[in-house]
Amino acid sequence: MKKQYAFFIDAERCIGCFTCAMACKNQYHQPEKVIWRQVYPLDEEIYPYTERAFYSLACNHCENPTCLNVCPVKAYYKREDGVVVHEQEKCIGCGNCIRSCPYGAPRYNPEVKKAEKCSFCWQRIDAGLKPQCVQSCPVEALQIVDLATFDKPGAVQYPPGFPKYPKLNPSVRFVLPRLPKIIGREDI
Amino acid sequence: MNNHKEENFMTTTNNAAEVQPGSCPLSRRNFVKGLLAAGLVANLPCGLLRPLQSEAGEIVYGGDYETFRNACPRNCYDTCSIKTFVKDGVVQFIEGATESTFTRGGLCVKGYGYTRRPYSPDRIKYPMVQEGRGSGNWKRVSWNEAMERIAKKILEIQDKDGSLLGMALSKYSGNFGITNYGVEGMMSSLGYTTRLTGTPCWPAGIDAQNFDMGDMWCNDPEDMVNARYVILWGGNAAWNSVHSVKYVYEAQRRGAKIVVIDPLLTQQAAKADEYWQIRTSTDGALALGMARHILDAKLYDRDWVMANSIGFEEFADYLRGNITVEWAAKESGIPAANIIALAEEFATAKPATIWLGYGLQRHVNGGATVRAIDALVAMTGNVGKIGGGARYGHLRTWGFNYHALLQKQPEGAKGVPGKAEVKGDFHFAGGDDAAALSYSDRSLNINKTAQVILDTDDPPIRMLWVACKNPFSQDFDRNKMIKAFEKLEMVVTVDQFFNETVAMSDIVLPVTTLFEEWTINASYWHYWLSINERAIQPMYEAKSDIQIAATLSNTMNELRPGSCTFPTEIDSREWMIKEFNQGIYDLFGISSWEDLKNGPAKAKMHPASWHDLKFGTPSGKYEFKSELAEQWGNKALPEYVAPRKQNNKYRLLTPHTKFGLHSQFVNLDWSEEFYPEPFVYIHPDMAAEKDIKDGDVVRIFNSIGEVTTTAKLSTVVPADAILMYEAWFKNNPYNVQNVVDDTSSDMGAYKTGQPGVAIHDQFADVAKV
Amino acid sequence: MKTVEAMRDFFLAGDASELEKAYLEICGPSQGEASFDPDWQEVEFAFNRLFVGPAALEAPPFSSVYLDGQSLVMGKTTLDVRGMYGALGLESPWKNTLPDDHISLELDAVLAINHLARQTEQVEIQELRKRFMTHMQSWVPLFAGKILQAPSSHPAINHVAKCLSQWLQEQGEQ
Repeated sequence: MKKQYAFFIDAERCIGCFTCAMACKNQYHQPEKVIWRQVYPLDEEIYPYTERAFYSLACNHCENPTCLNVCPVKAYYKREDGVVVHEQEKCIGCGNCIRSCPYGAPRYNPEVKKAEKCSFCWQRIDAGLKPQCVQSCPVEALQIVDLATFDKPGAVQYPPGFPKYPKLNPSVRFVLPRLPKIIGREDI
Repeated sequence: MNNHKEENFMTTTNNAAEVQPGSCPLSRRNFVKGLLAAGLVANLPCGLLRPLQSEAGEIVYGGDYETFRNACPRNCYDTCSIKTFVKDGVVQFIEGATESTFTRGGLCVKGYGYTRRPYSPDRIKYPMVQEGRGSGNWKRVSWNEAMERIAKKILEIQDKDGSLLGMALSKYSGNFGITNYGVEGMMSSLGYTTRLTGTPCWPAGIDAQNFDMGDMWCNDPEDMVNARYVILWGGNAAWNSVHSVKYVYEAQRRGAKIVVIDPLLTQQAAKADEYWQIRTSTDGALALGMARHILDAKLYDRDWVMANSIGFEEFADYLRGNITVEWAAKESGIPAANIIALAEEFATAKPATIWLGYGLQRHVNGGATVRAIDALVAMTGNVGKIGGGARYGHLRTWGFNYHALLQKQPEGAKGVPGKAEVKGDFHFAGGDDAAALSYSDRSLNINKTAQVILDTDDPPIRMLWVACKNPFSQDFDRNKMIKAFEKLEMVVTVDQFFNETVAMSDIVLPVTTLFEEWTINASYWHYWLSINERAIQPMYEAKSDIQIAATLSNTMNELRPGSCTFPTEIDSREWMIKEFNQGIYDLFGISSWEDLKNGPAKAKMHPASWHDLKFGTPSGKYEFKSELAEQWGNKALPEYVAPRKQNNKYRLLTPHTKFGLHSQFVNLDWSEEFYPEPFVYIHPDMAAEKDIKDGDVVRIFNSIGEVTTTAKLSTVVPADAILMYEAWFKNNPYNVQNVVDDTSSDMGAYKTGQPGVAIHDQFADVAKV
Repeated sequence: MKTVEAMRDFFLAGDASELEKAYLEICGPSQGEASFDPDWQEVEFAFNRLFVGPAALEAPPFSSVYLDGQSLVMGKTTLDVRGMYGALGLESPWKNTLPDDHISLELDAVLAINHLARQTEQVEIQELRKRFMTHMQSWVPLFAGKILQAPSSHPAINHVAKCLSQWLQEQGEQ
């Protein structure tokens, strides 16, 4: 299989600390509401305790990215290592990609009137560094992997609550969170 | 795409080749040609802008960054080492230092907000004076004028009372950089003053560990990977020490069992192998129940106990006479069978460790609880072992000179007669100038700040200096605090943001952020040391705490020579250097402070506290029976102390939010993106009883006051408790201190000067609005 | 040009007397609606709530707050403005302690640019002037609007805001 960088989200290790989300903001200073990485608490149907399990999500750098496909000015391209890059200088702010991505990765930046999204910190990768979010995670719950060689038992592509789009083939893998054995109080 | 050098991984948008809409077509490389030659620049009519200092057109740093070393000075276990990337004098982004195995390249959701903090337009920029406290009518003044007003007030107090006891300091942990003890130094340099001593944070546990072992001294948290059993008791590492979680995970990966005991299903609880939902404040009962069973089953380490402790026989007698597993089960709500199973697992896993959280001891019986849990660890022979220990905190890496702290009172200064040692949890310097010392500062309980301001007389507290603290957001019983402030003649607050205390001040002084000052940072948990360099110029007119002290001293001495001994001119960097000594260099294996510019250093300490089994107690042994404890008004044995009597319908818990540290961070707009508003969490059963639905606005109320906020239904909180996270939101009057009183905990006076405060022994009712 | 200098000084005023002095320069000896005598202490309190602090500013006087979104200072726009000063061979005397894009510094830069534009035919200067005025056009109206709508707005300060808007409009027509 061709090299394909992906985010591996270990929701079992993830403590929902939002370090990754803020590390990204610290690197790129996105304006308000232009969020590249968000940490989503799982619904009670998926994990029975509110705000105790999360998926940290950004752009999934899909194998067959819809953003690239619908862009009228070819402002997207996919690198050899699988990273999907948005060239904001070429962007005309038409909004096609924003409307078509089912994962909400491209966001509208109102000050430059263009789209933008998680870049996988490709400049850092090219310099031999990890993306800011990955480096910042205190528990290694967020990692970058190469799907060509990734082989973690129990890892899934579409955990509960994550939209399934096989045609896009998002480059993400997850490990699901577990519950502890709970000894409740006998007095209440 | 753009080519780039190895170190130039961030291509900036200011690329000479491309024109970005909205940005200058002339990159900073280009200087409009011929302007200089034509002599035009010299005659520009500008009153403000001046010719570029550096050679026109020269780019100072090109595409590269200047890097600096900083450290997070907040009251946090993790005290992260930071690497700061600056371009053209502006902080561009930060990372965790990779050299520290503890920080390991990453910070936390709060720390990454630092990139925003110096540049928040809400930042306090200039000294300002409020005409009419609380009026919102502020005038900008020069530093000189601000200092004059303050100095005149200080001299007025001196002349009226014959001492400076009427001037009080409210300071705690807003900034733990070592040079910030210069604030206390400033107070000393003015005379004998009133100090709010003690600590709201961890005093009961400190006393308990001192009674048991003779010091508070925890293992290296990085050695937790060696534990075969880990109990996180009353502490939420996933929110309060994110960097420690990786060690818990590693221990787990190696086969250790992880147990969390907590009244709430915290984030850490969700990551445990087993979570015990205990009835709040009965942890001592549970620990003693476990101890009873370990005793009966003869699973305690008899050899260890014989060789290294005193009082075990009395402790055993107490257990046999007073404690049963059934009783512990009834008291704590935990089934007896589980207590037995856990006790046996804990006693037979070698090594086993317990991490005692600080929330655990914020109760009227907090100190007793810690003693009981310490006893569990000791009787199973886990004290002094790698991967073992009763982990709470330490101060072994804080042996600096405290040059900033140690200032002398002026000649002829008077205070409280008699030599009394002012104590505090971070009070490092004993009074060693005994010869001249016939006076001392007046010590009052920081945990009863409002009450002591109201009650104190002869002389009354006339003036309050607030630094590294936010009494209105943090101190208890907010309504009482409002009354207390009415008594104060002058309030001076030193801060970065306009918080509730600033709003109630007469004078506000802008202080530097971590990037704008020189200091040193150690941790009370891990064993690393960081330097904090001045990475950028202070914004606007901000000064560091010691610069403020020097400025005040200058004015004081102009008005009345000799009235303040603090040097009137200081070099902050020199003062940082002055804190280092050979002891620190040896401990950290560095030859000079400059080594820290290459990254943080780790103390060359044995990873296990008490590894030499030479305890600091009077007997030199672990004291199950402590006469010292008895002298300080407690039982000599770790006997059970009952919880506070419930005085309202539900227990109210107000722990910290993961997004902020007390009143810091949550006010930043970056934080508001992820954490825009507060909630109160109640169990669906309780909500049903009161016809409260998710999202309803509710009031939480008791005899102290009330809070109005939005309800969220959740099963992480038990059905008999209300949960609200303590934080300060910028444009929201939400403040949990409205419903928290200042009841003392059982211990704290011995080592920290004042008893602690039972923050989690509060009760309230809730109703739909 | 006196008006520009006076407006520049107004927005950097440190106290009531500096405000009054600058204000009188702006208005001249007798000018229409400005012929009232405010309580300058009140003006100072309002001025601080709008532009200085210590609480959150009601009308931040920095371009980046309006252009970079989320009330940022020392961001991209501030540094772009710094670059434009640099192209003139100028820099703020408070570089890195006061954001370069404070309205007073920008007004000072206009003095420089307009002066140079009159002295030389150089295309770069004309381009720079156009770009700088476009920059000011993009935020100063928002700033002026913020002043007029601010909870602490004061007639004297509103008058200056209107003068600023009017002046900017005239610049655009040139």
